[in-house]
Amino acid sequence: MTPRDRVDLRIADLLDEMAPPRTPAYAETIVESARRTSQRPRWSFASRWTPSWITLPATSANRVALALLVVLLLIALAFAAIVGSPRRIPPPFGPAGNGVIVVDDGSGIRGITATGQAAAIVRSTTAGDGRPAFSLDGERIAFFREHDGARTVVVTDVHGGADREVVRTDTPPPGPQLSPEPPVWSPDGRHVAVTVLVGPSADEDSQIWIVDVDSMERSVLLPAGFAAVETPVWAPDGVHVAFLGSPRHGAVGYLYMARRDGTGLVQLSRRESSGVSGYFGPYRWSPDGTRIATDYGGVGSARSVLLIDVATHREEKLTRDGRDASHPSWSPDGRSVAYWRALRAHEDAWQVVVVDVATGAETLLPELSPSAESIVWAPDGTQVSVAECRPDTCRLLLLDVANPARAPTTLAEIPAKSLDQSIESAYWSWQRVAN
Amino acid sequence: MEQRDLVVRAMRGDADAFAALVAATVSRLDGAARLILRDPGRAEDAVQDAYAKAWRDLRGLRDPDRFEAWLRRLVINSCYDELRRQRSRPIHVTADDIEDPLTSDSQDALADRDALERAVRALDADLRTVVVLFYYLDLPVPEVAQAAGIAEGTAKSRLFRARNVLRSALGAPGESQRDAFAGDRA
Repeated sequence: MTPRDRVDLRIADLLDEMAPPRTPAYAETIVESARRTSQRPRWSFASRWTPSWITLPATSANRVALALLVVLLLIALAFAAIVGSPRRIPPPFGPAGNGVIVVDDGSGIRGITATGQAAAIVRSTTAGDGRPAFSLDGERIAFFREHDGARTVVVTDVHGGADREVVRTDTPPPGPQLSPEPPVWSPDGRHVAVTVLVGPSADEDSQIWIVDVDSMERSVLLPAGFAAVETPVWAPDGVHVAFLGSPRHGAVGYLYMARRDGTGLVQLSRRESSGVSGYFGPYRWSPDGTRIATDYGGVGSARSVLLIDVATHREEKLTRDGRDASHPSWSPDGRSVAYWRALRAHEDAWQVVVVDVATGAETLLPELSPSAESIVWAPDGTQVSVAECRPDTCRLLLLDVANPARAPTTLAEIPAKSLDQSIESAYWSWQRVAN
Repeated sequence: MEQRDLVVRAMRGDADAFAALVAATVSRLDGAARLILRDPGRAEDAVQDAYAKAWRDLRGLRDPDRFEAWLRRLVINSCYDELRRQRSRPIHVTADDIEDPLTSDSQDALADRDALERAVRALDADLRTVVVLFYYLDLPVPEVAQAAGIAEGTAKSRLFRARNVLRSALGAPGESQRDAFAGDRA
C-alpha cells in the first residue's frame, strides 16, 4: 500500500470515526416544528417558471474588495448628497399628515387611529373582506373580497356610499382567478392594478389587470410574448409599473417595468427570480421614482436589501454583513429606507433598521420577535408601523423613528393570516391626509 | 416508499412524509455539519435552520428528484452562516467531539490517526467543507461543487490542496494535481 492510497482510505474512515452517523436527538424537534409551521404557498414562488434545476455559478467572497467597493460607494453617495440637487418628489408623494389606519382583522376591515382607538370610517364586517389599500389622496379604499366562490376587488369612499365591485372573477379554473393580494392604486387614484391567475390550474400563468375604478374599463398589462406577469407596483410617475415577469412559459422570472399598456418594457435586474437562483421579495419605488428597493436571496441563504437605479439598473446593496434582511420600505421623503434585519441565526429575533441612504447612518429600532412582515411608514415619516406575528396572532405596533429607544405602541391585535393562503400574516393601510 | 413519493407528499403539506425524509437524511447531514463547524451546538442550530427552511420552501422545489441535493445545499449554506457568526467567538470543542481512539495493534497507526484528525480539524472552513462533502457524504466532484456553491474547478482545487495538507500530516509525499483527480468518481 502506497502512502497515497493510505491517506485516501484513511480520510473517509477517519471522518466516519469523528462523526459517526447517528440520528440526533433534535430530529424530533425538526418534525414537530414543521407540524406547527405553514409552508409557503406554491403560487408565491416564481420558481414555477424554471424548467429545470439550474446550477448556480461559483461565488467568491472577496470581502476585502467588497468592503473597499462599499466604502467607495458611500463616499460617492455622500458626494452626490452634498453637491447634487434634491430630486423632486411628485405629488401625491412626499410627507403628509397622518390619517386613520384600516386593518384586515380577519372578520372584515376596521379603522383605528394612530393611538389605537376605533376610528369612525367606512368599514366592513364581512369575513371575506380584507387586504385594504388607501388611495394616495386618502379618499377611497380598495380591498379584496372573497365570497360565495367569487373573488372581487371593491372600492368604497371613506366618507360613505355604496361599495362598488370594480373587478370580479367568479368561475373556477381555467377561468381567471384574482390573486388574494391588496389592490395597488395608481398615484392619481383613478386605477387599481391586480394580479390575475390564469391557466388550467390557475397556478401557471398570470396577468396584471389595470382597472379604471370609475368606468370599470379594464386593460391587461402583458408584454408581447410574456406568459406570466404578477405583483404590480405603480411608479410615482403614474405611467410605469414594476412587476415580476417571465418572458415565456416555463422560463425563469425577472424584475421588469413597463408602461401600463405593456409597451416600453425594461428589464430592471439581471437577477433571476426562481426557487433555485433566488427570488425577489416585495419591491418599492422611491418617492422620486428613481430607484426601487427590494430584497433578494436564494433558498438557504441570507436575504439582502438592494436599491436598483431605474435608469442605469445599477444595484446598491444596503445590507452587507450577511444577516437576513428584507421588506425594505421608503420613508415618505425618500431619504431613508426601513427594513427588517435578523439579529441572530434563528429567525426569532429581528429589528427594524432605518438607514439614511445617502450617508449609510443607521437607526436601530426595538428588537421584536416576528416573522419579518411589511413595514408601513406613517405618512408624516416620524413612525413606522409593523406587525409582530406569532403563529395565530399579530400585534400591530408603532415604532418611533425619532426616539428609537421608546417602547413600541400597540395599535391592535388581530388574527394572523394562514400562510397557505397569504404571503403576509397581516395587512393594513395608512391614510394620507393634508398637513 | 420511494423518496420521490415522500417529497411529493411533503410538498403538499404532509408532515409525516417530511418526517420520513428527515429520518432518512438527518444523520449524515448532522455529521457533516459537526465536521464542518467543529461545534455540535452550532451544528445543531445549522441543521435545524436548514430543515426549517426546507419545510417552509419545499413547494418551490421544481424537481422532487433533486430534494437531497437541494437539502444539502441548504445545510451547507446554513453552516456557512454559522461560520460567519462564529468568527468572533471561540470554538467550543468538547470531549464528545473526539471519539474514542481506535484500539489498534500499532502505536504508529494510532499516531497517524491522531495526526490526520488534527490536520482535518485544522483545515480552513472552505477546505474542510469540500473534504466532508467528498469523503464523508461520498459525493462526486460535480455534486461537491453544487453543494458548496462553487465552480467544479474550484472544488477540485480545494480538494487537491486539502489532500496535500492531510498527506503532509502523515509524512506522505504530495501529488500533482492531474494525478489527484485521476481516480475521481464520475
